[in-house]
Amino acid sequence: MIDFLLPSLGADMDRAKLNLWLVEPGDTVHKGQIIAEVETEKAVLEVECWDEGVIEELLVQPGPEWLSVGTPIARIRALESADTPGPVETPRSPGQKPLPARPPAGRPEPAPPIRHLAHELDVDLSSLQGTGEGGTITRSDVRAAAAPTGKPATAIPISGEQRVKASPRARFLADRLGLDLSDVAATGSGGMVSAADVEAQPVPAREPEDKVAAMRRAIARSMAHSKREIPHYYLATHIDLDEALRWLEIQNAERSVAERILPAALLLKATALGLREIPDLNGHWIDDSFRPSSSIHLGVAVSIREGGLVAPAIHDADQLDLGEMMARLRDLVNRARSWRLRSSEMSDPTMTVTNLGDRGVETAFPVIIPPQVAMVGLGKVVDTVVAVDGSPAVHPVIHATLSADHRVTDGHRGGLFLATIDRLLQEPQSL
Amino acid sequence: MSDSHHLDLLRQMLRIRRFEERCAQLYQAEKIRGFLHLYIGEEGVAVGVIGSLLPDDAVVATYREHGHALARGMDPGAVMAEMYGKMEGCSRGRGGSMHLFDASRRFYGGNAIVGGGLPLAVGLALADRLRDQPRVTAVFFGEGAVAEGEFHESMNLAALWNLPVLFCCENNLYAMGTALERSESQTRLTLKAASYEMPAWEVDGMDVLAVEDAARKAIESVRSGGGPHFLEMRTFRFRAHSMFDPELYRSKEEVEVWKERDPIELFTRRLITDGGLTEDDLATMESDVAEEIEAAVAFAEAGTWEPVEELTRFVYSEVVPS
Amino acid sequence: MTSLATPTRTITYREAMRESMSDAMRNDPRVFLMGEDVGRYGGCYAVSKGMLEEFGPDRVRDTPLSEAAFVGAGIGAALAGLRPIVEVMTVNFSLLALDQIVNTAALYSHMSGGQFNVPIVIRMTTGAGRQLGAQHSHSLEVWYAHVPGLKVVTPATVEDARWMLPTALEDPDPVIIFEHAALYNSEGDLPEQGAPVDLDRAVVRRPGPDVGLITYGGSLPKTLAAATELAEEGISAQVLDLRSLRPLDTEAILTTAASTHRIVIVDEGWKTAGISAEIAASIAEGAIWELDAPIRRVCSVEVPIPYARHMEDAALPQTAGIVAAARELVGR
Repeated sequence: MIDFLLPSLGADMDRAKLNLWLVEPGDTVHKGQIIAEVETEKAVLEVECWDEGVIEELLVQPGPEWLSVGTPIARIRALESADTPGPVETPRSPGQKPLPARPPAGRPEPAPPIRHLAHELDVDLSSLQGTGEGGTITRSDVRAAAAPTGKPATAIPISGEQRVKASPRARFLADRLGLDLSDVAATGSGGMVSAADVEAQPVPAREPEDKVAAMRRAIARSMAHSKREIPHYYLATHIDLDEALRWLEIQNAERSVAERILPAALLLKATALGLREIPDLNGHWIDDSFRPSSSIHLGVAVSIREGGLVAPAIHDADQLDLGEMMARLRDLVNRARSWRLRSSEMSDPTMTVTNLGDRGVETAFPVIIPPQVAMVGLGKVVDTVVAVDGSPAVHPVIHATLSADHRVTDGHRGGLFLATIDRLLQEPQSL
Repeated sequence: MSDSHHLDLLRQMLRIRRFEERCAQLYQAEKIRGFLHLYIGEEGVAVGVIGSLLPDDAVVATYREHGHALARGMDPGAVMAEMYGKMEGCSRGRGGSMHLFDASRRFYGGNAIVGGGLPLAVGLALADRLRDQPRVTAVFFGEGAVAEGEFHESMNLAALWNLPVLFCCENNLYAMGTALERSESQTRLTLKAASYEMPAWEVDGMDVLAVEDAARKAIESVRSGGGPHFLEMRTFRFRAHSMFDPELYRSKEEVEVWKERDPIELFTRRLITDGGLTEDDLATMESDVAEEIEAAVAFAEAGTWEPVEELTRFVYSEVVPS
Repeated sequence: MTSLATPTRTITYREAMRESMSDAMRNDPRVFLMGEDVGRYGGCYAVSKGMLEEFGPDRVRDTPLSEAAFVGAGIGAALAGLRPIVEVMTVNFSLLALDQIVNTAALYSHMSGGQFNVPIVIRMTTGAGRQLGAQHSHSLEVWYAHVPGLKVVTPATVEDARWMLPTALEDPDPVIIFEHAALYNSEGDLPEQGAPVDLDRAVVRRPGPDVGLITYGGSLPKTLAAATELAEEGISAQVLDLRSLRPLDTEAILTTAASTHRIVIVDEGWKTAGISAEIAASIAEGAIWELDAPIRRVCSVEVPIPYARHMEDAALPQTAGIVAAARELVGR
C-alpha cells in the first residue's frame, strides 16, 4: 500500500487546499496521470500520480482547509506486476523541520505572523476563540487577549538623569578608574568629555576613612569580578639570583646610597623585557577578546598604610634603564602611600607584579586585576642549596609565580615567560 | 538502420527522460528543492549536438541543463547528488540543479542568467584561437536569450574575430511564459545570425538524427576555421517552465500536438519500423536505464552533507599562486 | 615610501602602469590586453600607448563597444587558462558588464565547488574632478567591493601602479584594479629595484598620533596635503592608504583607530552605503572604546557630479574639508 502525499509543486509551496479529486476509489491510476487539483496562494495546480495502482481510499475530501505538504491524501494499492520504481520514502534529514501536525478539524492553523505576535505578547493560542473567517484567529484576537495581562513589547527606560556626553574612550577610562563622568570638566569636541578630560581629573580627594572604604569596595569589586570571570592558571618556578645580585652589588658600589638599585628594580626590568618576548600576556581582555598592548606599562602592587592596596603603572617599563626604573619605583610608592597618584597611572597597567618578599612570603599566588590577563608574584629571596656543576652551593633563590588568564594563554606560553625572566636574570648586564 | 549508434542515441534520450521524471518525483517528495527545470521533450537536441563533439571541446549550458550534463557523460549519481545538495554532487552541493559543472569534461555550467553564458563561450573560443587549438565551444541558450544584449554582443564578437563557437539555440517557443512572437519583432532567428554574417540553419529539434546531422556539419566547419555557426533547434518542453507553473500561457491542445512529435517516440517508432528494434530490446533498455537511475538516486541518498564549517570555502581559489 | 638609499627614477602613474603591463606581457605569453581603443588609439587615457606596436593586434586587442561581451570573453579566456587584462574604459561603462563580473567572474569558483577559477584582471578608471559631467564621474568601486569572490584594489602611488599588476596576474581569482583618472599624470619616485607588492594590506603613508585619516586611491594626494596643513598647526595626522577595498584590511583600520582615537574617513564615493560606512562600522565593532570623538566622513555630496567647475569642486572631498574635519575632532 502506498500513501500518496500532498506534493510540493514549487520552492515556495508548503501548503495547499484540495479543490477536486479526478479519481475515485477503485480507479486504476497510471504514472503521469492527473488525479487531483489543488489550490495554492499562487495558482490552481494539477497533481500528478507517480505510481501504477488502484485507488484504495481518498483520505481527504475537497474543502477550504489548508493541508501541509507531505500530508497523506490518498492510499494507492500498487499493481503487483508493476516493475516501476517504488514510492519514494521520505525519511527526513536532521536539517528539515518536522511536518507540522494537522490542525484540529474545523479550526485553521493560525498564520506565522499571528503565531509570532502571540509569542511576543505571551498569549496562548490554544486558549483563544478566533473571530476571523471560519474561526481564524486574527491579530485583534491576540491583542485583545494580551491587553489585560500581556507585557509591553518593549520597555522604555525611564530615567531622570541626563546622560553625560562623553566619548567611548572617556567612558572606558572613567569606568576603569571608578570616576563619575558628571564630575569631569568637558573640553572635547562639541562639549564632550574626552579621554584627556578624564585623565586630567584628579583622583577625588576624600576623607581618609572614606578613601579606605572606597578602596576596599573597589578591591572587592575587582577581585570578585576576577575570580568570577577569569579562569586563572598558576605556574611557579625557582630563579637563581646569584649572578644577578653579585652584578648588582658591583653596580651599587659606584652609586650613592640614594641612587642604589634594589633587586626589585632588576626583577621588574626582567619582567618587562620578558613581556616583549611573550606579548600575549601584556594587554587587556575587553569585549570577549584579547587586545594586546603595544606598550608595556608595568603595574606594581603597593600596599597602603591605612589598609588596602593600589597597583599603579610604571609607563614604558621595558624602555627604562635600571636607574630610571628605581627612581620611578620610589616615586610611585611614595605617591601611592600619600594618595597622590595620577588617574592615568591607575588605568594604564598592562600587566602587574606583586612582590610580597619583604612580608616574608616565600611564594605568592596573585589574583589577576581585570582587564589585565596576567600577574607575576615574587616571594622573598631565600638562601638555598643548589647544584652548581655537580657540587652543592648556597645561592640566593627567589620563587617567581605567574597567574595568567587561560582564555588568552596556555601553560606553555606562561612557562616560556617564566623561563625568559629566568634567562634574563642570568645575564644581568643585559638589563 | 538500427545500428549500435542509433541504439545509443535512443538510450541517451531515454536516460535523460527517465532521469528527469525521477527528478520531478523527488522534487515533490521534497528531496530536491529550489528551481527545477526539466528537459522533457527536448532530449533530441542535447543528445544530437553533444554526441557530435570531441572530448576536448567545451560545453556551456543554461539552467535547464541536466540533459546536457548527462549527454556529456557526467555521472548521473553525481548530478543527482548535486540536486540533493550533497557533498558528493558534481558541484559539492554548492550549485544545485541550475549549476552543474564538470571541469574534467570541460562542462562550464549550468549558467542561470539568461544570455550570461554566451560571452563566456566567446572567451573560451578566443583562448583556443590564441593558442591554435582546434577545439569547438558549443553554447546552448533558449530563444528567450535572443532578446538579450549579451546575445547580440557575443554573436558580433565571435563573428568579428572568426572564433570557433557553435551557437545552439533551443527554440522551445516560450521564454518562461512569453511566446516568441510576443517578444521578438523578427521571429526568424536565423536571420539575426545572418545579419552577423554567420552561417545559420533551422533544424527540427524533435528529430535527433536531423539534429545530429546539422551539428556534425556545423562542428566540422567551425573546427576547420569556418568561424562561428548558429543552429536554431525547434523543440518544445512538455512540462512546466519550472516546477511551479499553472501553464496559463499555452493551451493543453498545443502541448498535446507537440507530444505527437515526442523525440523519443518518433525515434523509437522509426527504429522499430525500419526493422532493427524489437519490443524486447526496448524493455531491456528501459530496465537498464531504470537500474542506472535508481543507482544514481541511491548514491544521492547515501551522500553526505558538507560540514557547515566549510561554508566560506571556494569563494576564492584554494590553490596558492606560484 | 622610498628609502633614500635605493636608487630611484621619477615616473608618472600612467607610465608605471604601462611598464607593468608590457613587462607582464613580455614575461608571460598567456597575458594579453583587451578593451575598447587599447590598440590603435593607444588607450583612452594613453596607458597602452605604443603597446600595439610591440605586441601586435592579437595581444593588444581592440574590441567593439560591447562591455558585457568582451568582459565575459575575458572571463572565458581566463577559465580556459589565459591571463587576460581587460580594460574597461571607465567604471561608468562597467555597469554594462556588471552581469558578467558579478554573476560569472565572482561566482564560478564557488558555484562549481572549487572546480573552476577565473584569473582575470579587470582595469578601469574611476572618479571625478575633470568636469566630465555626471555620467563620466562615478566612483562606484564600492559596488564591486560588496561582492565576495572579487578582489578590489586601488593603487594610489606610482609604486603600487607599477607593482600591483604582477600580483594581480598571479592571483587565481578575479582582481579589479581601479585607477583614479586624476592620478595618471601624478609623478613619483620609483625604486629601480622593485618587486611585486601584496594586494591586501593597507599602508600608513604618514604616521601621527593625533588623528587618523583613512583613505584610498584618488583621495590619497588630497589627504596627504591635508596632513601637511594640519602639521603646520601642530596636529600630527596619521594617513592610512587602504590600497585594497576587498579584502579590507580591518586590522590596520583598527590599529589606526586605537593609536589616534579620532578618525576621519575620506572617500570620493557617496556616504550612503559607501565604503566609508563599512570602515566606520568596522571601527564601531572592533574599537569603539578607543574612540575619543565621533567618526567623521568626508565624502562626495549626495548629488550627481555637476559639470560647472565650482559646483564640481563643491561636490567632491577637498583638502580644506579634510583639514576642517580633523581640526574639529582634536578640538581646535
